[in-house]
Amino acid sequence: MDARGGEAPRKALARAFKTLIAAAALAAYVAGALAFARGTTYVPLYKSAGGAHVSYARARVLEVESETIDSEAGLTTGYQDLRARLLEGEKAGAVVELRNYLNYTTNVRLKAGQAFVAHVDFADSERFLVSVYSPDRGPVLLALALVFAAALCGIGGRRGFRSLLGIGFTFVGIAFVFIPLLYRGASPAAAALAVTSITLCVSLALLGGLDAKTLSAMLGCLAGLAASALAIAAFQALAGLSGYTTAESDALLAIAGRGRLKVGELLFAAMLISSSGAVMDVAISIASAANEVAVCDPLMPRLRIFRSGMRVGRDMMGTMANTLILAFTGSSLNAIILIYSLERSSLQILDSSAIAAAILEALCGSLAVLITVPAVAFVSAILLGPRRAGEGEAIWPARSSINRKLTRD
Amino acid sequence: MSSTQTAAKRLAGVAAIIALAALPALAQGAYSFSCLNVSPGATSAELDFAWIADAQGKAVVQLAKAADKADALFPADKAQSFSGVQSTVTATLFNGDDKSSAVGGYSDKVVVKGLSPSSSYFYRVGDGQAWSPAYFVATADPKSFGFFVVGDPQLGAKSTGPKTLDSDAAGWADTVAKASATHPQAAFMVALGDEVNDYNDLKLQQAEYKAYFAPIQLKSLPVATVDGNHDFQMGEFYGFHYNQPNLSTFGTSYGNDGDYWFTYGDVLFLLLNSNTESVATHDLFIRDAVAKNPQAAWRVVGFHHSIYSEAEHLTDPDVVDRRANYAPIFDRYKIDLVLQGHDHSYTRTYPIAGGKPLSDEVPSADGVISGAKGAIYVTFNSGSGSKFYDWKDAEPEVYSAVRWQGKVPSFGYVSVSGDTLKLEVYRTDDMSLIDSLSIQKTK
Repeated sequence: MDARGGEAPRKALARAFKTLIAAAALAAYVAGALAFARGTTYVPLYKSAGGAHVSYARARVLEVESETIDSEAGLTTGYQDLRARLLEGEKAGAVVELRNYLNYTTNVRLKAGQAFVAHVDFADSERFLVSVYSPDRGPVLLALALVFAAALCGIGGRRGFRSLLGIGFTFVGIAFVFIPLLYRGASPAAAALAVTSITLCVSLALLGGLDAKTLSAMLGCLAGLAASALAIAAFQALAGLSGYTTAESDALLAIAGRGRLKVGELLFAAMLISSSGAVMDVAISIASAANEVAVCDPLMPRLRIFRSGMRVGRDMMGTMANTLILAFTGSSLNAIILIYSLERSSLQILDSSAIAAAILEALCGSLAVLITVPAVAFVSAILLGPRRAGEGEAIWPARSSINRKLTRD
Repeated sequence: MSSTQTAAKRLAGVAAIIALAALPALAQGAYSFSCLNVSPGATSAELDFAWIADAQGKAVVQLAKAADKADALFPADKAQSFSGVQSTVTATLFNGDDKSSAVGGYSDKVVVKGLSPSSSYFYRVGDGQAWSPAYFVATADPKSFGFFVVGDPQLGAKSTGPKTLDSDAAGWADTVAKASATHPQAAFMVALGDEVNDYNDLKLQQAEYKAYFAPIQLKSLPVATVDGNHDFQMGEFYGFHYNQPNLSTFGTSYGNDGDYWFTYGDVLFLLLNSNTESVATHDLFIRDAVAKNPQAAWRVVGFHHSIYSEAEHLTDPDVVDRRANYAPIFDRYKIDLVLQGHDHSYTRTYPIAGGKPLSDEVPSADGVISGAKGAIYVTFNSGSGSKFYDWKDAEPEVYSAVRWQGKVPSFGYVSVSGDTLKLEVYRTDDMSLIDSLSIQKTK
């Protein structure tokens, strides 16, 4: 970064201050979300009574005492008799003998010295059964996450780090705010709208700072989400689809009766969340393109910025809608294969709740993307357009960021 | 006595019930009750009765030999009386405090002992003064007997036909009637959970229980019931409806009943409450029951959440856990046959050992699997037709020998005689066979 006179230290100080405020706000949010999540009552559906319970603990194989192994068509079957030590939990240090079955359901062949996650099943406080649950995948997944984070920061630099924060924010929002909200009886539709709106806006702000480009993308996102919500709600009602018609509704209802979960609106929430990623994607792409156009020619008229945004948007629309439809095909592949094999009529297919829901989701998501395009193009044109007399205040942030970039470049 | 004779007596018995029902409260005061049902007792010489009485009082069953009933009246002077216990019916309603409270009615439970094989009886229930109508009940020959198996009647699921409790109940009544008509000699029925539908809605469940117990044949046919995921949530409320022998504290959750076992002839029946995450409890329960019944040649397990089925619940996280953890226990205790519900579709597996389907162990030309080296898992479709699930995958799973989803109610009939156990599964619309298999024990 080039230093320009005495302004630089002051700017650096201001930036550090802003970063500090943002970091403090994020930390407070994460702490609050964690406390909120921890204070929520989840329904332990199959919790055992009388001291019986199941826990999971890391363990290590001390010895593979014997193995009876068959290899058939790439799948190892048979069993291993193991001696292992539990490394944590109520029975930490205990040495147990167990038979590890290798089959279609459980297939974790272990070696002496290898760590694994044990399923420790207590009949009461003393008597327990141990079986192999999985290899200890924690370190591998953690390493993968670290590689991803390093790549994001290495290639993306400061932006990469900011997007990492965005991902973290989204994760915290879903895991520690959205899901607990549902268990606490919040309307899933309202919660999904609130959480996606906030998550999209904060992610964009973390990514690009609070400038006109980000603001354009945010407003476009909100328009897209609103369009998505309206479309989903309207067509869901017309098609007679609700959370009660999904595959998991049986299990969900079992939980709902014991708590405050509102099953009916879950499908709406799921569809809205699914479509929000594509909306954000389109919004930032158009806002970014519009910003580049405005940066190249600070006197570019609004109509031309709008047209540029629309042109980029039109190119994206097709691929983005295709993306959603391909995603739908991918996630419904089993159902589609089944439908072909059963030679079902088209009426029967469209009548099935799962397929209707998937089509609704794909099309409403695409519709949201379509609405987002002109919305972002329009807002970008307003916010990034040439400065005219009397409009300085409204567009000042944009000009300032453009000017800064121009100077820097 | 041959099974045909028993069957004839049963039909005569049903006729007599109708005759008796036509003489309401002759001489005696009316006894107000609901949900009367019979469970198999600890052995074939016992029967366990349960009903919900409207008023507080004694719980009494009077039993008389069918031969002693000369006319339409119950032969009270020749009947034997059995007293039981009454408890206040409670339910956990999850309205904030998770405490159970009285919800009306009294649960009466009476054990009747000393029954002879292949014998016919009449019984009535009451408080010692007022009595129910008299009903027929019979024992089978424990050396050669049969029992029905049904999957989820789930009255109130309302997912098929006119989608009403009445239509679910009509399907259930039809299945019970057709099963009883084709095999009137059946010793009992095993119902694999989800007898009712509405997890924790007291009013709906009360109506569903009444509909479930309504078929007149169920006053005469003992039913061994297991606790399904739709039944278990209101604590002991489920348990107040049934009188189950050798009830264990293992396998409980939320204060509901645990696992139980009984024997009929050479067969040990182990009925598990699978609504509990701990499998170690089932392990201890089975170990104990097996140790107490070393003479049992056959070991049959029944529970709700099918582990080797193919429809909606195939990949539920809790079902995947059970698949990994139940199967090794059934291997350990050399279980022959596993009866399951939950998935509203029919699947019969190859013998499975160590979680591995033994797909080369196929029946001979006359449908006999001899000396199977693993347990055969059978998942039963809905007994009432109130709800059906589609297959999760187009191709059958590796463990499936037979699968069927005809979307009509069905039931199984298992007959056990010496070293052969025969399973037949019927669809109730045309009563044709969906599946048939004999399992032969080799020494």
